[in-house]
Amino acid sequence: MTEAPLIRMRGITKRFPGVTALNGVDFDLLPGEIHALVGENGSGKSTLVKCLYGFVEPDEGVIEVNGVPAAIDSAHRARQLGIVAITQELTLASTLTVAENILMGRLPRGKLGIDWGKVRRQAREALDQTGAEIDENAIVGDLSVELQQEVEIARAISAQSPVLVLDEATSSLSEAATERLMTKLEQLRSQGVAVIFISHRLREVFQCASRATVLRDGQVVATFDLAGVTESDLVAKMVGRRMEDLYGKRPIPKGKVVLSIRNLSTASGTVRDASLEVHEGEILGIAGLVGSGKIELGMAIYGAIPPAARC
Amino acid sequence: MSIGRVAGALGGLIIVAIYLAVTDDLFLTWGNVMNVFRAQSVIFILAIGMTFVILTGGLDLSVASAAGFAGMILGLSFKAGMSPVLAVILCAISGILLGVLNGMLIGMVRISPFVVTLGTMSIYTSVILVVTHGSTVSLFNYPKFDAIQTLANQDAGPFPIILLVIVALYLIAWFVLHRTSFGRAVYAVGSNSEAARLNGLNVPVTLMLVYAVAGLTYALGAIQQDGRLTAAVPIVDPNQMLMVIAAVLIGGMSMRGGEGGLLGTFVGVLFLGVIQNGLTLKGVSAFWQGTVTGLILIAAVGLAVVRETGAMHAVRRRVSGRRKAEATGASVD
Repeated sequence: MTEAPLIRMRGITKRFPGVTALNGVDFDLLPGEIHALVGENGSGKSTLVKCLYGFVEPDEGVIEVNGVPAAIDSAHRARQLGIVAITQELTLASTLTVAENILMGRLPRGKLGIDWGKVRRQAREALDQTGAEIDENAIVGDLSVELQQEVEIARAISAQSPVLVLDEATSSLSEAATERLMTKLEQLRSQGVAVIFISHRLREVFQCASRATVLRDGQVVATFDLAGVTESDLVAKMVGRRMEDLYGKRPIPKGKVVLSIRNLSTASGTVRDASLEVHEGEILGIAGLVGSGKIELGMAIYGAIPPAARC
Repeated sequence: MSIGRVAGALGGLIIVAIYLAVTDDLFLTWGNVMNVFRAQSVIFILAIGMTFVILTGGLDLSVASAAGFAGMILGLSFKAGMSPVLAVILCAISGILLGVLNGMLIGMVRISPFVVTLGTMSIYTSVILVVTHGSTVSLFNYPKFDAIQTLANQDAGPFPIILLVIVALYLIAWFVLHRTSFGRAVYAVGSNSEAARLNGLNVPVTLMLVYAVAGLTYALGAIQQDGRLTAAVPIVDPNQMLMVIAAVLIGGMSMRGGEGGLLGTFVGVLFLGVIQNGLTLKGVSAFWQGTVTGLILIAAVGLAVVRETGAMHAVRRRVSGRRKAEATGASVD
């Protein structure tokens, strides 16, 4: 590809107290590509994009947008440069309507101040664009976390910026919503929008991205086309060793049971009849989709939600 | 704005008004109702500014002191022989400057509004005393002051002039809050200042402007106050601050910001006015007024809390609160 990059980052270095998060990172984003940033937790991928969307200022290095060096010192500046981010952390005003959130900072004006009819129409269009079935007049705080994430996505996409950054934006989405987002991203890409995609779900990376840059310990390991690359190749680059020992499980002698839960239910009914045992020296994972009750189970275990009264 | 937040104060107001109308022949007379508005006129105006402030999640304890200060500027201007127009302009400017001082410390230096305005409350109160040596500036013998007095006390047809002014001010403030970018920024900053910042709103400047607007309304309230008293009084009424904040909160505004609005404030001020009026009509000692105001304040805010912590709502708030905390915490990756 010989196209001039939309974003060109050179020698980006960022130090936090006690850790060098980024160490001389070079990164190019081309128009009309979905470029995945992959790496283990702490590899620096989030910090790198935070430098782009104005959350973090690099200590060293140059960022060029459309060939012009840019100092991105705020999210506002990033947006002016055409860079909009969707992050895992929700940045919505929960007491305001969906419509006002989508158009925050760019509410359309009519003859008599802000034109609320136009606000609602434009918000509706933005929601329809992403296929989100959310009432634009709803108060954001009344929506589930998943729907709030969809509002966030609709807002970012409706900004029609040439660069979209998705930093773990899919982590709280349902599969259907993720699917819709993927379709939308592909459509935007074909219109020339450039996307930086970060997800810990490699399946999603392979599904939508055309190129990938692998980061490890704050440094770029490689940038390559994803065509013909297998998941285990990618993982090997991420962790610096072959796939076989990625989930390398060592047998651990289990000690005695230190926590035993029998038929735990919460009053809201989100958790029903949950039972589990945790042994000494054991790390027990609890997995589930959004809304499956894993958070509530955890909260019930440490006492933040009272268990249902026994019958 | 949802009518739900105002419902409590409105219901209370209606119940008390019906009770008074039934038990007291005087209550529902035109003259008495207009007197309620007249008696609350200063609070009505000051509460506009407090509404802006509390919408951002802030608080302004300096309200009465700033009004006293601006009122003293007005009095001293007349005493120095200035024209009413000039005196009013100086008074307004002084109010705005006091607000800007609060706003800069809160929005730019990022000191908590409670601390800043507690401090400036003390400062403004003391400066008035220093300047006047504690003596009242009587405006009784200044013909130039007549215009202010007319505005404050006379009627236009069946209505007190000041009631028309108050309605106009509420409409203007409503327009600002609901139809301008600044007004929506006030709500956005109060709802989630991080979201506001990320969407390109200038949070420090918004906060500064909010306290400046508040300062302007305090100056306008001060003009009415001087007009009613025909004097600029150096002693700041400690009840006034309580009344203003209580009225706004009774009107359904959340201390967290981002919710509620001027309709609630108007109802809240009126409610407290009717209560005061009722106590007077019933011959209850004025000393009880503070007790009644305090009880209503706690009951009103208490009811709102109970309503907000309805079972599912509480869980959701906790989850989103945690996400918000994560969003603001510094993370490396």
